[in-house]
Amino acid sequence: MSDAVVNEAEKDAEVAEAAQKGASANEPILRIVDLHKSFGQTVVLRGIDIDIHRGEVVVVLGPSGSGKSTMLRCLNRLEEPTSGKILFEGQDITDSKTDVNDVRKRMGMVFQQFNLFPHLDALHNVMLAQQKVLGRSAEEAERVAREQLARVGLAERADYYPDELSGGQQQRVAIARALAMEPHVMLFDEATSALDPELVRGVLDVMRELAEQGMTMVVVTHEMGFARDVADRVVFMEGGYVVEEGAPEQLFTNPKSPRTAEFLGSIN
Amino acid sequence: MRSEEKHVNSPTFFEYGRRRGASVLLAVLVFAVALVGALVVPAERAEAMEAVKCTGRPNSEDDPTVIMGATESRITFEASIAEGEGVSSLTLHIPDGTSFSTNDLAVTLLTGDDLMTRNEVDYTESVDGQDLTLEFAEPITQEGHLNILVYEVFFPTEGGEMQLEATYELTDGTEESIEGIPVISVEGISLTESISQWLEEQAWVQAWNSNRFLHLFFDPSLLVTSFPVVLTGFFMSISIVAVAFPLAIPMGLLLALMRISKLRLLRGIATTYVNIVRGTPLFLQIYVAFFGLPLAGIQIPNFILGVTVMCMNSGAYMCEIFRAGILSINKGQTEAARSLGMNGAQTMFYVILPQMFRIVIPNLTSEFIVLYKDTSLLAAVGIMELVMYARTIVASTGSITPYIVAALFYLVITLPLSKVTRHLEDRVRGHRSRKHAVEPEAAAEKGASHE
Repeated sequence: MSDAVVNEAEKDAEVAEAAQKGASANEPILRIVDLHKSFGQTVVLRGIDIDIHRGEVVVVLGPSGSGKSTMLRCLNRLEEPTSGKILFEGQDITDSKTDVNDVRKRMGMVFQQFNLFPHLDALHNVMLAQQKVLGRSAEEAERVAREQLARVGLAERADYYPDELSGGQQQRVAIARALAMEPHVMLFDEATSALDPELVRGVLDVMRELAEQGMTMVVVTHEMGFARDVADRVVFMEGGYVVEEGAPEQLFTNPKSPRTAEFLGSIN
Repeated sequence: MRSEEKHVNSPTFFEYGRRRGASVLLAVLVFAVALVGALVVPAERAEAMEAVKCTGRPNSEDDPTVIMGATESRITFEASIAEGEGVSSLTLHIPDGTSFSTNDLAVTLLTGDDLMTRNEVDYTESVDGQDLTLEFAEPITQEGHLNILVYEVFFPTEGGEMQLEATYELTDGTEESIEGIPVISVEGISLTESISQWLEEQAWVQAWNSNRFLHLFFDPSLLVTSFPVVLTGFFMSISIVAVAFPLAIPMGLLLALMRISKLRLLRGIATTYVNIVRGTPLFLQIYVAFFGLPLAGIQIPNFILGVTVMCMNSGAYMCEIFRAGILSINKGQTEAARSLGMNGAQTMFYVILPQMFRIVIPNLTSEFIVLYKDTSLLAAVGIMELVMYARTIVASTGSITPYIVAALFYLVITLPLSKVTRHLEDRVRGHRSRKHAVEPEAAAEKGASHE
């Protein structure tokens, strides 16, 4: 009881603080605070601090091995952070008392390898977690699933199994599957890297559209065009650090760090 | 004799039924009836011939008292002849469906106080359908027993109660029949036994069997007779696997889940169990269960114990099959399910296990084959399964052929199943049969529009 009261008080204080700053709309939905991650002796993240605001599209760039995917996977605790905090909608998800499943249902994730469930058709891929996690009825889950499949342009593929779909279609089903949970944040982990070049566009179009609809997105990608066009902010990571972050036009045209410049130069 | 007794008894019956003060008239009447009865008996005694015996020679290899159908036998018929009767001919009616021959027909008159004196009888025989008639050159007037042996008798295949009929003719031309001939009980033989007998007579079979090796391992008639017997064992073996195998699946699954559990205790229990079961011979496990438990005072019916041992053994092997199946599933599947907020159990049951079962079906089929073959070990503890039945015939015939029959019963199951396994393996390695063709990717992507 007293804890609840304290929590209430804390929340009130936070809200008051935010209001004081006149930035309640800009209160970060996701705050990464001094995030460290090591795999045994290998240190991957050496203190990451990023704030992500509601409706913001943050694109994370960096050479392979820079730790950007690990950082993303720490956000929904597919990887356990070694130290540091991740605050999601005001809740510290690295706290051992936090129900990680409750956090995950508010965070969608799209994987490089799609990871559709091969034993279920597209419709049931999108329905499964709705029923099991959100407790939706089969009818409602199906209605939502068809809606989301239509949203990614695959309404007619509902009864197709993953191995009957092209890579691009599979990835769009995976996006629909995540969206059906009505997440507050979408995490994209190199969503187009496993696709043949001609299939990338369809997926990026869906992502672009999501961004336009105001979805908060954290996107790890190598697609410079997407970063330039869609991102509100670009974060450049290397060696487990955030080297530089800023608006795309600034970062692409006038990088502060020589490493960023070098990386962008090697890509373009 | 019987009729005499009846008439003697009847007055007492009447007396008993009536009051003591029965009228004299009635008593007289009853006496008269009794007298008539007494007179009738000698008239019955006038019958010249009475059946003494009628038997078939036992011809079963398995039971020395049994007469089988469709197998060579001999009929012994014996009837008594009163002195001075003068029997001029005798006709035996052999039951329908029974074949016989007049070769070696033996007709002897046994006389003397002990009936040990054998007298040749001069006769001519004739056969009319099922009737065998003996015309005696001299009417038989001597007191004694007329003994007739009919050879090469084959009773009907289906067996039954064989009732011979006999009539005889006296010198004065009167015909009488012999009453009270005992029936011969003939056991029917099965189709396979008759096929087997037929085979035994075939020249090619005899030629085949003259080869020692072929006779020992592939005796055609024994192949046929072993079949129904070993079939009984086959059903036993099948029912053991049919119960043990489905029960081993949940057990293996539980063990597999324990082995990949985060809890060290569960892991330890499952690992220890699996290692012990897989590390010791099934034969030994059967012995421990079948000899150890009764000694410990635990009595479990053989079938249930057999099934339990097979199930517990197979469960350990299935555990490893399932564990490997679960571990073979891409980690991305778990990550995708967990990223959607599904907990560990939901992920296991709705995402991992359905995929795992598809992968392990070929291995499960192989395990079924192994389990089915291993039921043969239960023969060692007296469970009447396939090998045990075969062994009993081998013991009584000395031929290995029943084991070959048993082998066929194993192959009937294992060969098609291994073929199925190969097919399933191909399918698991390749793709699930597709309902929809994958469209040319580029075209599909470009055509995909969404707003």
